[in-house]
Amino acid sequence: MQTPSDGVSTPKSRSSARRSSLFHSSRYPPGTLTSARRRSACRSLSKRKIQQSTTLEEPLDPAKAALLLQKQWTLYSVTPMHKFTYTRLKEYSKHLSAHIAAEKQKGLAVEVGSELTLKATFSCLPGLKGKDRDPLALLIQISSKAPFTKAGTEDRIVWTGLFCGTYTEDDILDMVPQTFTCLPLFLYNGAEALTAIVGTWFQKNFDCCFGKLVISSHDLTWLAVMWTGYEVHGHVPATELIFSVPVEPHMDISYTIHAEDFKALWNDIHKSKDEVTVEEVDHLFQCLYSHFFRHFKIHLSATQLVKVTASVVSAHCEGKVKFLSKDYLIRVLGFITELAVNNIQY
Amino acid sequence: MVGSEEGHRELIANTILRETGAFNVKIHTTSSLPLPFERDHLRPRFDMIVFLINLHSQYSLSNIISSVALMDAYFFLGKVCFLATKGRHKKVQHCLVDISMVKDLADKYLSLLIQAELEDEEDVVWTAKRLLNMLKICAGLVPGMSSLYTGSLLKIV
Repeated sequence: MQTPSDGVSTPKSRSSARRSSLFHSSRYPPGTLTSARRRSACRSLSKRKIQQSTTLEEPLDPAKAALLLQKQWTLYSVTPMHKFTYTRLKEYSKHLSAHIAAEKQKGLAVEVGSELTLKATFSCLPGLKGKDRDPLALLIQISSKAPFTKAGTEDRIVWTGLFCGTYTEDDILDMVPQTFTCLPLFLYNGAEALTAIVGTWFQKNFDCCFGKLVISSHDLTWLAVMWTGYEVHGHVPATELIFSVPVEPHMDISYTIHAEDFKALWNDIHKSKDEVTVEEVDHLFQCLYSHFFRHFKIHLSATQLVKVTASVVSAHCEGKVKFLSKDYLIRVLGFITELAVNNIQY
Repeated sequence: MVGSEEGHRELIANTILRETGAFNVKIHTTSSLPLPFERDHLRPRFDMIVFLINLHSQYSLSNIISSVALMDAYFFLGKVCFLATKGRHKKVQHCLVDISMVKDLADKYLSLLIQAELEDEEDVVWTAKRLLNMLKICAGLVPGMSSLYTGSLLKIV
């Protein structure tokens, strides 16, 4: 048999293999240290543990928790920070405030009124630890003060940023060297220009990288299944799923399910007490899709899930979340931290 | 060409017809198998089957899985190709179907998997040319090569 002629099979097949490996890395080029771990994480997670509430050394202060609730947070994943110490927070505050003022001088932060002075404050939030080994969460607040106010009036907080690593897995913490602090999740609420300034300051000083964290539709289905049906302020809110249909003109389908019905369906499917498997999640959503199809003759599996509002959290696939309840905050943060860790290439 | 997204099927089919050179290509498109029984005697012999999977849609994957199960084993000797679309990293949050699942499917049926974007003209032409080359081999128009031979090459690449 003759050998294959050029341009038929071998060169083109090689390029298809290259293209498929490009897909796997999604946003970063393939790494070296954790590429093996990442490949196993890319394969759909077969099960996730439902974290039981643990007794922490210091439970979350309600006043601080109120800072986190009911706000729209945008998510980023962060690589570990080099030579960051919790003892020098005051220094960092001064340094960052000076940096912001310098950037304003250059005319970069344009939407903030030019007379306002901005001041950054770093603080720690010990209540956001899932386990003892978790790193301490770091809260940054940028407050503005109009120039001619009386001394003693409260500054208005214009931007809040939070670094945390809740329920970070032990093998990640072991892999990170001693000089690094691993806080893989960054959430911010406020003007994007300020985020850019803070981000570049962190990148310059601590040699870390920020990457936008998007939540895939599959992870949104996990979120919906794991966090529905819990009580918030005495009543159980309904679950709302928003699907985006790929037609012109753009159409969104909003599917609202009563919490009792959802819980009843889930109880029929869910077997083990503290683990959720991917088959159970897919099965539940398959039931929801076939129910919808029976009534409306629309295949929801051909659409994309973009937003989920479960009882304790609401999440959008572009990386925006809103926490609705203090009690389950830590566990939801643990879930999102896991997504952030999977998103990073070391 | 089997796939649930009509737009993609039309796009590739039209491009293939434009790119074809010296020989006649007839393309039959459908959204799922089995093909209706009534016109069976009128159908010509099929040389190659392409399955289109849209990675944004779970529905297209389940559709293809049920279609593939109905196919005759004769086709799997190199005459089947899976084409996965919309897997690009720009929209990864919308990818409901894991690419590894599609790869496992292609491996299970010992067939080639091509990934394409189908957004710009160049990509569509590239895919069409590739499918056309495969079709030439499957139809026996390239001397010295058979589809069985290219099928066996897949394990090496």
